[in-house]
Amino acid sequence: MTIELASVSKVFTDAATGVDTVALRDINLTIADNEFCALLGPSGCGKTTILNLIAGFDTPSSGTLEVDGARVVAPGPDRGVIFQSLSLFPWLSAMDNLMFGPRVRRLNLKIEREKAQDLIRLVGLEGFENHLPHELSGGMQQRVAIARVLMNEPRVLLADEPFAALDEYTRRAMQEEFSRIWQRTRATVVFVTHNIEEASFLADRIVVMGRKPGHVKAMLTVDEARPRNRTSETMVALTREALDLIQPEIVV
Amino acid sequence: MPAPPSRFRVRIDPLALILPIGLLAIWWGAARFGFIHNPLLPTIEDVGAAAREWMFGAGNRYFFSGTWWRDLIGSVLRVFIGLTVGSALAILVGILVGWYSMVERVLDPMIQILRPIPKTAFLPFAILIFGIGNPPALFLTIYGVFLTVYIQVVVGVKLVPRDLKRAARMLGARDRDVLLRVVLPAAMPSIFAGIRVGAAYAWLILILAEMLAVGEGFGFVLWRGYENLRMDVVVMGMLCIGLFGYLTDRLIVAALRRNLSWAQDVAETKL
Repeated sequence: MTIELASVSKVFTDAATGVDTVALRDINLTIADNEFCALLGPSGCGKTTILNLIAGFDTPSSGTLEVDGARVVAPGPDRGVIFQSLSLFPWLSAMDNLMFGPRVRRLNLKIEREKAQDLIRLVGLEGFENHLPHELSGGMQQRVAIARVLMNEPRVLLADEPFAALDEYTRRAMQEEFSRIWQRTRATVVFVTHNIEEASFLADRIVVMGRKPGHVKAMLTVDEARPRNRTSETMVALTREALDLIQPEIVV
Repeated sequence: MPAPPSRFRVRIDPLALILPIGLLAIWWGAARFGFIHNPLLPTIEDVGAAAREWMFGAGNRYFFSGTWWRDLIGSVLRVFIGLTVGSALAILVGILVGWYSMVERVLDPMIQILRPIPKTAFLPFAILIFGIGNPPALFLTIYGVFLTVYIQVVVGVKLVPRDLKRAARMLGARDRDVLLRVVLPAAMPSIFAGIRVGAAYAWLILILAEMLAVGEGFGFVLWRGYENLRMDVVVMGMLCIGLFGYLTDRLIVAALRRNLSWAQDVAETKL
């Protein structure tokens, strides 16, 4: 699915003080079908806001946002979201978290259960189907969150810093796994991250964003075949380029 | 599979016995060695005799002869009805208030005005309207439980993490499913906490209602005991209320442990 943002702005008004904050100003961005697009930038640059708009959790203050030519008005199973907070349902087992989508969509549960088994295998969670989320490690919880979304076979995957809370080694493993899964599903991906290396390792294109208000600063194309080598010359050069772009945006 | 949540078990910590046994010993010793001069203060033997009379006494020798089972069943049933009906109402109304801001704007201010009025202060009107017997006692207990649980339900519903609701919606859930499959279970720890406090209120309110408006039950016997200056009966009444209030609480905690093992902090806290 193609995602198209045309002159999108988002203003938040503080309910108590009435003060306006411009989170996004005049965003023009087209994400092609099957593209893996990373939104990169420091905190407060509006990456998550863009994601929430595409997901339909929020609506633009002005401008238009279309997915496959249709205006986004509400969240839906065609656009799967992987949250930073994971947001697994803590009272449901891993399997029941996967089955949540089919249940609320009133699908044939017998067929879906088989599909869930396949996905459990795909993300390497065999034997943990009946565990509650808090009984799983952070990386495993992350796999459940990914598999839960894949149950709906979304054409768009929206990921909001999904690996930020993982330790460095688990994060790398999850990045590799995510890349592998994406190559199988070929959904359009919008991946929010502040991790430069993560963006260049995963994405076809990196949208570098700036702050105050949130805007698009630059677009970097990643021309490197997968599987990628994190330490290849192209990767290192790309990381340096992105860092140079982001440096002036950082305030301590 | 994870280990099933622990069943209702009774383990008694020896340290917990020091104070009760010590108090009993002081009580017994004070009577035995003549420190109790007030003839109205009962000895352990008096209380034991009152307990026997209450449980096994025949005929109409005293107002409480052989009525223990009647009083027990009456009080427990009234607490049970008050707690279940009051909690069910509170969950229903609380979820609507927490979820629909229109409902909140209509109902919540009224409920907040009623809340600071002690629940027991409604007893005169309850008697006036419903007469003597079960109806005023049940009304008051249901009302008290409702107000106590209601607050916890609303808080629970409002504190459901936003991302959990968003996750449900992006997976395809509509309002009804978000409410029943996500908001309600996510609010359960808070609701359970409310029911637990509600149970304590149910006993408190019911005992007062029985003292003044019902012709049976632990509260009735306790108060009649006082009116007849039978402090041995009063003590037995207090012990029974304490015991069954404690058992009520343990049952709720056991249910909570069974059903909320996912809410680790709730399930694992020593309650």
